[in-house]
Amino acid sequence: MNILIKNHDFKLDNKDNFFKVEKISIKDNYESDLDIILSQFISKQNEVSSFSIPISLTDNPLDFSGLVLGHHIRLDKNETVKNAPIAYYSPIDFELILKLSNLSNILLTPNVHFFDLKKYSFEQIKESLDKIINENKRLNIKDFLDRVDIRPPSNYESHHSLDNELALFYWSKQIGCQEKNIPEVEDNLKYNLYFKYFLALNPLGDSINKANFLLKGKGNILLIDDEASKGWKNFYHNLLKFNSQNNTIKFESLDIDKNHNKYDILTNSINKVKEFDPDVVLLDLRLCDEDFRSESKPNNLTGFQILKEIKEKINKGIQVIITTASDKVWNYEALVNTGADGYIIKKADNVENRIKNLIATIEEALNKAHFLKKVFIKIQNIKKCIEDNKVFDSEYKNLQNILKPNLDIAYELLTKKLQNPKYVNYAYLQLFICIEEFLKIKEIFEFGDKCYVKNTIKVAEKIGEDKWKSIIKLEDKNKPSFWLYEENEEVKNIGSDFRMSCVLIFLYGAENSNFKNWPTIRDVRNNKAAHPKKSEILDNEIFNILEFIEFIFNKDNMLAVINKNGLDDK
Amino acid sequence: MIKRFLIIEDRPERQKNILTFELPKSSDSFKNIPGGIEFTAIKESLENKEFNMLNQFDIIAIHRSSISVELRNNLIDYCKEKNKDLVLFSGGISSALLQKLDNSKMQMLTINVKDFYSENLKHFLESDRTNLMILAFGKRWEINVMMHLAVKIYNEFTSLEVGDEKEFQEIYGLTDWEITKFFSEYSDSSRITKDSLYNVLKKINEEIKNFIL
Repeated sequence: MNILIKNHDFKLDNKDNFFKVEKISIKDNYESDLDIILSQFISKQNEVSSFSIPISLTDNPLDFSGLVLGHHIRLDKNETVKNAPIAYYSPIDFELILKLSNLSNILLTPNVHFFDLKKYSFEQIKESLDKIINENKRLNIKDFLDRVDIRPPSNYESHHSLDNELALFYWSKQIGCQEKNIPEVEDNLKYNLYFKYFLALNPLGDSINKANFLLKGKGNILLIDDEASKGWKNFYHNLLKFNSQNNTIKFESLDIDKNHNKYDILTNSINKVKEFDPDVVLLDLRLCDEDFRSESKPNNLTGFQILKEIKEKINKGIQVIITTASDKVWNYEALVNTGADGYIIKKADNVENRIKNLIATIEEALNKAHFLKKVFIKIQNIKKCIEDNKVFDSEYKNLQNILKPNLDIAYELLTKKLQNPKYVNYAYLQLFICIEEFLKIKEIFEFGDKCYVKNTIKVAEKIGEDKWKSIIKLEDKNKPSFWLYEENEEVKNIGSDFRMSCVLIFLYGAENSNFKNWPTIRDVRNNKAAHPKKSEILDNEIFNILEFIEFIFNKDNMLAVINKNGLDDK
Repeated sequence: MIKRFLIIEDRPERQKNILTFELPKSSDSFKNIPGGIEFTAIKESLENKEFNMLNQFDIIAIHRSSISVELRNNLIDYCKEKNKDLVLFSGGISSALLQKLDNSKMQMLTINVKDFYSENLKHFLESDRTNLMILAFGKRWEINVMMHLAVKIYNEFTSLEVGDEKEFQEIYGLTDWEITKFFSEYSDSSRITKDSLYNVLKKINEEIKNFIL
């Protein structure tokens, strides 16, 4: 069947019915997009030998709707339709048409012929088509794809909105999501010319083995994405479903209405983070119309501001993975500076690797969040103790300025735990420095020829070279060693261990210095933390020292009245 | 006389993002309703099939998905009845389509939102706003006219056999501009032959070529 699209009133001699004359009704179809009208027309064609098409199907030739139709024919799934010769006809010169539209490149592709109606009659077109059909040339789709110039629809606020939609489809297919769950993208792929073209250029691969979807780690994952309801929520539900079933991961999504203003989106996001207490946040950068303005600076994007709020005001340990279709370098640099913990680029190429990378990034984030969120809370508690405890003011006004940055450095070192375990050793040493600085406060431990706890209890007195009379005695029969309260003992030096032990026994009312894990903390510092090449510090050892610091810095744990006697101070 | 133009938009931020120039201030001949209370009020009126507030405008441009299909159909019927031009813009429209509906005088343009808020809108607003082709195709609208004329002339060309002739005035629907440009040597009583139509076709192609260059 030789289909001739005849949307204009020219006289056609078709007595032999060589052509099956068709009219594509564009008028009165104003609810449908041109791509939909043309796709639906093609879907009705089965037995086709050739298509003869005008350059435009409407009274406005500059829409080049006939050229659009040719592209849809070539990208159709039906092999007969797809391979059929196409004869374009027009009273406009071939060279002019080539100059007027990017779509005219189709005229240069195999098995497409152009007939200038000033030179050819339909009788001649018919004869030519007869010959062409008899040659029965098969189309190599690659030759077509290489030549044509199909541009993305201009409705996308930016190119990455398009990448986002394509990635959603490809990623969903790759993990075996049901088609019905992403209707908008499915429709685009069914009708939209650019999407059809992209699909032809990037055929879908096989789905990943679902057994790989059981992620290592556990925790809460929150998705903040303006496209969540379009299909990303469903994608993550599918990706995480095995973990949801065995209760290792709880996944939730914040649905964002793009029409909401930036302030509302920011407030809703922060409230959701506080309420859900996520370990990992998958965060898109552009969440409202304003973010799509070309002059929007990276730091003004709503996603950046949510990231900043989470890191600065909620919990720095929450791992924020930015999911974006943009791979601009400025994005990455600004994100790293603001504290983003990962960067997932949503693109529709190399999909299998991209999904494997996504899984690995989430697993690493869960692992880090599990540790860092608790560390961050501990450090915040310690900072609060420092602020509330007057002992850190008075003559040691600078101590707050030493201790808080020290704690921040320790936290930053701990965030690098997965890069290299030696950073944990350095963090431990940094935390131990906080204890040593604390012991330099005169109100806590006054060092001199006579040493005092809380300015009143004499705990040591120099009686000779490397010889001190002491109120405590080392108990070293068992490991780790610790100190006992015992009058008139002798010691060789007044080190950190001695000082801390006195403080624990007198200021905190401990029976002995085997209190709040102090002997272990001391030994871990000396035997493990100081030797990063030999030993690695464990997570529980970090929490031990943090808890110890929190305890000793808390004013409520210090005795108001010391209930043990020190050395005679006469 | 300049045509009075109304834009109804429910996504003001998107409008701001796409526009690269400032829309004129509201006046008797132009009004922009970018969301807000006024948008809600106009939508409510449309839902109640009240169109009075549109009477003062000649061209109505509206974001297609800001109203339901039913409301759109009501709006199209209203525009047909009152001979008002309608522009439906949307993110989901791939190609600009300009058409006259049901043989009414009403023209309807469906256009992608980004193309709508392009420089073409600026040129259109600066014109007398009678020619929606400026909105659809920008400065190239004359090429569109000439290409369409070529199709019309071709249709006439096929209606004549070699040696036949017809009166020039029998060629239906030529505009003054087209007559001045391509038929200046003809009067109503001039005879037109297949050859002379062929020459007009060549002349149109030459003119398009000159325009492009």
